[in-house]
Amino acid sequence: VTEMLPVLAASALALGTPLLLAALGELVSERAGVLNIGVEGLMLTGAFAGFLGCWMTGSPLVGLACAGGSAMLLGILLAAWVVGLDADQVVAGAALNILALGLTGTAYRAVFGVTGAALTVPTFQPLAVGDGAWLAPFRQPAPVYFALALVPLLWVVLARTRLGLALRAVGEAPEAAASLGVPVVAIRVGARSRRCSRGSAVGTYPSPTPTRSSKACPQDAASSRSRSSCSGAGARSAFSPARSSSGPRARDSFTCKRPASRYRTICC
Amino acid sequence: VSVRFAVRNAVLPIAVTIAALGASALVLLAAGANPLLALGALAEGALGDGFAVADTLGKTSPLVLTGLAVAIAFRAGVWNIGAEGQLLVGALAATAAAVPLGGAPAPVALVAALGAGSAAGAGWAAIAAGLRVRRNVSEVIATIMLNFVAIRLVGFAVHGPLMESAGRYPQSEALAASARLPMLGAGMHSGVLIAALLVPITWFVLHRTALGFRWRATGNNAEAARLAGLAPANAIVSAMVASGALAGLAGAIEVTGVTGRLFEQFSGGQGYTAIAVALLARLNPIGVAASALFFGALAAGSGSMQRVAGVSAVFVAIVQALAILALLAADSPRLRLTRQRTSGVAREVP
Repeated sequence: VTEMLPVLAASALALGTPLLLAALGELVSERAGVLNIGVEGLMLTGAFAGFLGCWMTGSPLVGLACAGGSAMLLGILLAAWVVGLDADQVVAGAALNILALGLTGTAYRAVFGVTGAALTVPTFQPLAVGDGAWLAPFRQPAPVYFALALVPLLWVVLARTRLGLALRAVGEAPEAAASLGVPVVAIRVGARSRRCSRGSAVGTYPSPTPTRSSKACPQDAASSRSRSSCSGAGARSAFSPARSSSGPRARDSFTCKRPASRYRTICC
Repeated sequence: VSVRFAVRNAVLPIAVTIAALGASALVLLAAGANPLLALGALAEGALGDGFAVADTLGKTSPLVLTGLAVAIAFRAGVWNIGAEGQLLVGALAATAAAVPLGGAPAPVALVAALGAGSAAGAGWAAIAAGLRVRRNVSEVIATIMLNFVAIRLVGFAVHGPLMESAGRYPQSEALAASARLPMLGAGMHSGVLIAALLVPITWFVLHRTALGFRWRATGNNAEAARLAGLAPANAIVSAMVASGALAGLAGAIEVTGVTGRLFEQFSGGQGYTAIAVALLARLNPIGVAASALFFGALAAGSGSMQRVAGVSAVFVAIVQALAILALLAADSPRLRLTRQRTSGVAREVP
């Protein structure tokens, strides 16, 4: 057991890093009140662009930059639809997943042709931390440390800075935030593209397992966890006490619309 | 049927689809392929001759059923993302029912298989519905998780209790001829007729019965439905059960009509594609038939496009995605192409 433990911890860290990065990215956008179903598509795009950049230049760092850039482009596209056109973000996110699947598949064939063998690119090398067997968990490539460092960093930003406060306010009470002069739309677009580049970084991370291409992977599910807790709040905002008591006939309330809001409340 | 209704529900989606095809031609150009050759091959593979049409219809029918399943649930305000899992347990139950009944007279095994498939799909959906109603568990998460359970369940079955007696491959015994859906010629099975029949039936239930009214009332405003004494919890459960039954039937039809046996990776993601089908159809049952036909034609034509033009078959996913994005844009209140928002597509997450 003592021999297995370091190895187990090492692979747990390695396998958990993509999930960690994607979940951190999703966390930022959820806190800003933006639900991102398209995280799977962004990861896929990031993986492809990251691989392509790495393959063409031989540098994992360039790959990382390509991944971030490509996913940010898709993120801007999604923001254009969700924030700009006020489209439903579940539908737009699902469409983004399908789009990413098609784009990467088509581009792969256009660039690499039909190959049976798996293509390989140089990856980030594990840090040299010594030879001891018990040091195995620390023998990770730099992106793992980067991802772990992001955890406290993100907490500080969210919980202890003005920006974090604005971001959370935008997520919890957009009208209130706007009335205090917080630029709601800008924050949401920013949060979305930030999370998009974060999610895409997963693609370049030299994971021992191939990037999953299933259409609904657990991250998606985990990302929508907040919904159940919010559903009650949604009903309340639609029918505030004053509103429901002023609507005398239940039949009339079929035509009741939610109170007009300039900002869509996202998870409710 | 007003002009605006027709524009919003028929003209606009068709125009949007054509626009998506045009936009995807640009992607083909960027990928260095000849768009005319590729799209021509796509159309040829989908509609070129009798066999191509039969292939299209065969690929359309599971999408019609799962699309209807998704549409019913979404109209009732339940986000059933689990059509995939419900389809899989439907296929599993149909196989489990049909294999031991191989020697029974002709209609018995087939009817048992289709019945078991629907019942299993309904039961699978009822788990998520029960969790939602009793424990307020988000049905989105419950149905997605149940998809994974269903995938493993099929894997377990074909490696274990349902594995073929030869024991060579992880697949079930082939179904007896008596348990297979009769063929209609040109390689098309009669499940296509079942799917076609269920389109008007679903429309009728949704728009002309008290049950359908309860579903739609709950979906439009659950709180108002509750105040009107409509018991939204019942509507949620019944809508999910109906939805699951349709998806389970799709799985049973795939087994008895197309594959003839159960194996791992049985579904090619039809349960997920169904969400796109239903949304493009604006959650209207008649529209589901049209949009499933579009998706089915893309699926049937993609192979020939890959052979002739050397474009990856997943290219059709771009067309689908662009069609959905274009429809969302056309619906946008900011662009004012349509005056009124539709209830289904542009609705917020509950």
